[in-house]
Amino acid sequence: MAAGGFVSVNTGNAKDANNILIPKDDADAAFNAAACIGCGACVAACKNASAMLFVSAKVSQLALLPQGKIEAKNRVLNMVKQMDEEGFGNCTNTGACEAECPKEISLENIARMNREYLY
Amino acid sequence: MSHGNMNLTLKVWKQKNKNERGRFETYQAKGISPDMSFLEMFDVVNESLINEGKEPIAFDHDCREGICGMCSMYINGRPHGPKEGITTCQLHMRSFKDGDTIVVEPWRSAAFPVIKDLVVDIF
Amino acid sequence: MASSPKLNAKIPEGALENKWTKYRSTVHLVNPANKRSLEVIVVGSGLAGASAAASLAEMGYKVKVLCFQDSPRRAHSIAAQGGINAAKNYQNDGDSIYRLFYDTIKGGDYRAREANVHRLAEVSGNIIDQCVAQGVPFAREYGGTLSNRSFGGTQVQRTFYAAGQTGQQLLLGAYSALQRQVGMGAVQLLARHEMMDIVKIDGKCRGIIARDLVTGKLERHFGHAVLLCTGGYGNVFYLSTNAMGSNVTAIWKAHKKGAFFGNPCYTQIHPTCIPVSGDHQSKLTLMSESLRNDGRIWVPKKQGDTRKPTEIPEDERDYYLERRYPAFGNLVPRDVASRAAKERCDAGYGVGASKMAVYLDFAANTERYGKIQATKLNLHNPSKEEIMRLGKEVVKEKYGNLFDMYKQITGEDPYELPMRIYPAVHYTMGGLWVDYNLMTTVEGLYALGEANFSDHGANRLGASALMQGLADGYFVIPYTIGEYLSEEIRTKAIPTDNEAFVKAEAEVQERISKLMNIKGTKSVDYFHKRLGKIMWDKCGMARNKEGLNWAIAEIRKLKEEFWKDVRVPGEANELNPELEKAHRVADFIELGELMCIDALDRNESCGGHFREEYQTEEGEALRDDEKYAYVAAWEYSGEGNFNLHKEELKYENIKIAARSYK
Repeated sequence: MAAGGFVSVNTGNAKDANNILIPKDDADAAFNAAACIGCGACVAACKNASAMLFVSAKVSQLALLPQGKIEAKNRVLNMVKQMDEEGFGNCTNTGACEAECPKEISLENIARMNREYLY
Repeated sequence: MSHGNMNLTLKVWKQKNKNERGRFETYQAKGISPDMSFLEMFDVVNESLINEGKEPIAFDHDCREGICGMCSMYINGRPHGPKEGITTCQLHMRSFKDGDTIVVEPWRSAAFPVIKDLVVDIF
Repeated sequence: MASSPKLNAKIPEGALENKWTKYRSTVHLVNPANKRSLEVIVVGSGLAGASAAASLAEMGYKVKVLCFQDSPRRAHSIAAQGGINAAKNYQNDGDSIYRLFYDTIKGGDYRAREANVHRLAEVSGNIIDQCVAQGVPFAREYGGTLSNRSFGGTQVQRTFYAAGQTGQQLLLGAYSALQRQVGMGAVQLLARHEMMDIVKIDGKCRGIIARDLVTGKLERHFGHAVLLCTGGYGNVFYLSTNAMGSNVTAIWKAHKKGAFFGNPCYTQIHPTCIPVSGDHQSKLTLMSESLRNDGRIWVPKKQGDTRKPTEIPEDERDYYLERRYPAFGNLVPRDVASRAAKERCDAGYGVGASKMAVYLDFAANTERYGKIQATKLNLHNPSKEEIMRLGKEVVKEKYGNLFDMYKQITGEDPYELPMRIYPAVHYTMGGLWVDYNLMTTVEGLYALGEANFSDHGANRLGASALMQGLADGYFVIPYTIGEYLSEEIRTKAIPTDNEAFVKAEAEVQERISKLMNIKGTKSVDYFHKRLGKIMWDKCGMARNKEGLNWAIAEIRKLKEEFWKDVRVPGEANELNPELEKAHRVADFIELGELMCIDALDRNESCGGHFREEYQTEEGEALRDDEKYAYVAAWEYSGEGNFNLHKEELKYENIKIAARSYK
């Protein structure tokens, strides 16, 4: 998280909340990704001990919202780098993470993160 | 004190700390009610272990309503147990049958070293 | 009545609307170079702690954060469900800062401080702006604007929400701001650490003693100031909606070192929780107040009616809140709704196996939503089944996670049957007494969020806890701490081999040894459950003189027994959850006594404090403004002795009146 799972905004001086309009579907999708409770089941379930579902849920939440778009590229690069450095394994798309997630976080988030990473 | 009619056998991972080797211990959970949560069943087992002068089973838990993400346990080979879409603390004993044997392990992952028994280091 | 000379609330002069703006612009500042050498310790990482730590680190202070969980993201703010209030008036329904201020004072039964509450209402809008900027995914309308819903004790829609997981989303927002500072090296994070005591030097708080919960090692930490953001003490009742680890230890230790405890007896009993199912129960689960938007509360009109709820016809149901309080109906404040539920159950109208529950029924609104959906979809003459199916989809989107949670716990489907609910301990309005700057009676020691007594008087309105936690952390403390720290720029970091640190650590060590060496026969939980039962029976939803006197005597006996017969297995120098609990329960026992003493002293009923001797003919709380319009701030003066100090509450902007929701 410290590697970029945030929007770089200091306290105070934020614009009126309704100045940023967000389509309901995007807000709902961001919320569904943000529902992750960080329990670690996805990593524990993965034969590669990959943390892709966890990281992608945060990357997705912020990539779906205009507030998060500005830093989207750096965020995904830094968070993936951090994940690799901490020794988590690679994702081979087995889907075990999604199957065991108590909050039913979707594999789509991994796809979205890969897209953010590549483009 | 009896709470219900279910009797279960637990095989639980016990490990003193991250340096020592762990092993499975067998415990009997007696007088369990189907309305108990899985963690409340552990409370009952721990209470009797303490009363017998034995060491209770260490496990992480806090909110007990499925949102804090602390109750990391592998139950019968699956994270958070047999039911879809819930955490261990939301799993209730009505999902098990009288006489069942339940195997409980910490998160199985080299990324998460065991601190004690079922408690692992996630962050 | 005059306030005690020991209590200076430091409320700024001037008109209510201008106090905060003027104060904020004139409060002393610390220049950026000096901030880098000033250290602040934040204990607790919930909404108040995380937002304070992030904001102070952004400003340049050196910050250390402790939490007992494995990560700051686990703090119990995460479990808050329904929402957060803000006076935005986005719904164009007549909301304003004044109205939020007024609703909060009235909701608190005229026992909160005007200046603090007005400041809270003023900054409420900024909180929403800040959270949206951070990427908190609040619920939105199809047009892209933010959505609102209703909560109890108000007639406007000012509650912002993210499904039934608002606390989670706000906490993760604050947590991400905190992690950003951790990543930049501005915050040092100490997870799985518990504060064991504060350290005072020359009357000022200069640090803490903490225990590393993994190794059991005691640590000394210096700070120019210490912020306690450690939440409430509802677990004194054993059963509550709090997390298992939520505890009073940090603020109780501070209390014993000189911080006065404000209004300890003000406890919030939340009306809509899942009822107790047996003596194995370890905690209670809340069903969000937002459900009262669409749920109607009722009991059968006939005593001891055993029919299934769906078989009881409409005219044999008593919608008692709508009957007693036509103006607010199901949306009366929590204290009123809880007492009304207790009254019905005590009178023999309760439902379910235990008869200690009432129904919360969604059928009528499911049908209403279904009809609206059918119209939107151009369905002509839809069948009843079709309407209910469409309605359920709407209800599911609004409250899906709560309905799932209910089903998991009870095994019943709330889409088909009404929920069974009963009141449970949820929040504590009392806490450490603080002045306008949020400083306790110990210089340099602050209390934020639920840990202080500040803004909710004798009853908190729904969706106001999140608001207060974030207000204190994001928008109040960053300014008010300057008033103190600007005087501390010449204080060099004090080495922790200072004798005050050594002595404090030795005291903690002695207590640990004492607990480990009792080697008695009963578990910590055994004592905790007994304490909980005493508190719930005699200092819960209804209290009286005789019961409170009995409770005080019982708690004293329990304390003696605890220190003679508790059994703490394992070792002190390892992860030992039983030892952690033993420390916390020992403090809860002492607190329980003070709560009863406070409840006994307050010979009136107000908000969550209901003394049976003081009620109207209709059973409503009867205040005594002549004698009790004060904050009770208790000073610890040795083992079981507490001195009362009073802070007079002056109402200059609101006319104090009987509280009516009829």
